[in-house]
Amino acid sequence: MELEELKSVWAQYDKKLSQNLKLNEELLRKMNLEKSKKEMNAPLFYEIISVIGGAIFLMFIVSATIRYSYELEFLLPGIITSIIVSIWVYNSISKMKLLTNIEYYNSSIIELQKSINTFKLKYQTSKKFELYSIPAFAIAAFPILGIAMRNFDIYEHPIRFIVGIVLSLILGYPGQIWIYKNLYEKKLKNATNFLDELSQFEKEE
Amino acid sequence: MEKEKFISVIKDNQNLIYKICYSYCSNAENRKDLQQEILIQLWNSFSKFDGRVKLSTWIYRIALNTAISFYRNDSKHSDKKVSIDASIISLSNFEYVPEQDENITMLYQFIEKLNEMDKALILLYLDDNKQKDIAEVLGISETNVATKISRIKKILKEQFRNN
Repeated sequence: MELEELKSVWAQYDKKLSQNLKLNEELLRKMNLEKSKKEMNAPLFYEIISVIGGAIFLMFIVSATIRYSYELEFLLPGIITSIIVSIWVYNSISKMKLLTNIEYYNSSIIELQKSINTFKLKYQTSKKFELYSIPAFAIAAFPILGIAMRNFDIYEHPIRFIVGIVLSLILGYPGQIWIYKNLYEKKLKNATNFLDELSQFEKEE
Repeated sequence: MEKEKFISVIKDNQNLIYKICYSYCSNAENRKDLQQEILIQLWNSFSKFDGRVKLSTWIYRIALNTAISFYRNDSKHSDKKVSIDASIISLSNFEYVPEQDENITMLYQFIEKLNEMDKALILLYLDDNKQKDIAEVLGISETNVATKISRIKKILKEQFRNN
């Protein structure tokens, strides 16, 4: 059967649907449609909170690093922690920017799907960085946070510090790798593949 | 008042929503969720419709985008907005059962095999949309639409010959 013939079969089907389909108006009225508007903004809200929280924490770390900059054993962890937190904040700002640029209701299918999947890609790659940097963050942040918040010098308790480092490395990294592999890697692959499919579809054949 | 206007728009376009849900979800339970998701998205954008495009073009765009995102979603069943038991758009009685229509069943089987973007293209084509409108909804050139339709035609011919 040719596609044109199927078009007329489809038109008849459409006519039959018109006669037989029923809209459950009562159910549609009952649906809490207003609630969904708020839920749609949840990812953006999360990123805004992350940027604000991250920026406050970054300011604290930077000021603590400056305060103890005369001692290399605090300066170095302070710089490393600041770099890691700066990247986290930068990633959240990029995600926020991507989210606010998504034009849900006036874009073509290609445009919207591309922006959604570009956001997903960014989300998954920054998640990878976040997870993999957590153990390094814990090791670096401990000396500077300890001294700045509680006047506790971890270097005076080398055994505790070594145990902390070993635990972060032994438990932290395999744990983060496991979480990433099981929760995020497949999603990253899906987003990448779909972006490729979209570019392929967009290309003139 | 706005809700009543919305319900009337949905009533006029329920065929379109039903066909999109049927094409993107073979599972009846998922179809119910997709239907709900499409209605939520249409409602959220209802106040933003400014008439610059045809109402049907606007509905196609939102419904197809929602269906594609739903299909590609990695956790599609965990974030149901509202829990409902029944379908909002359904066949009123069993006088007409699309599954008993051989050509329609075959056509849906064919559509099911296509990727998400080709599904959107063929649905727009079967619903007798002009190439210009299809290009606008999808975001590709008219020439590209024509080329893709002729490619799908070839595949379809093969499929029906084999059956």
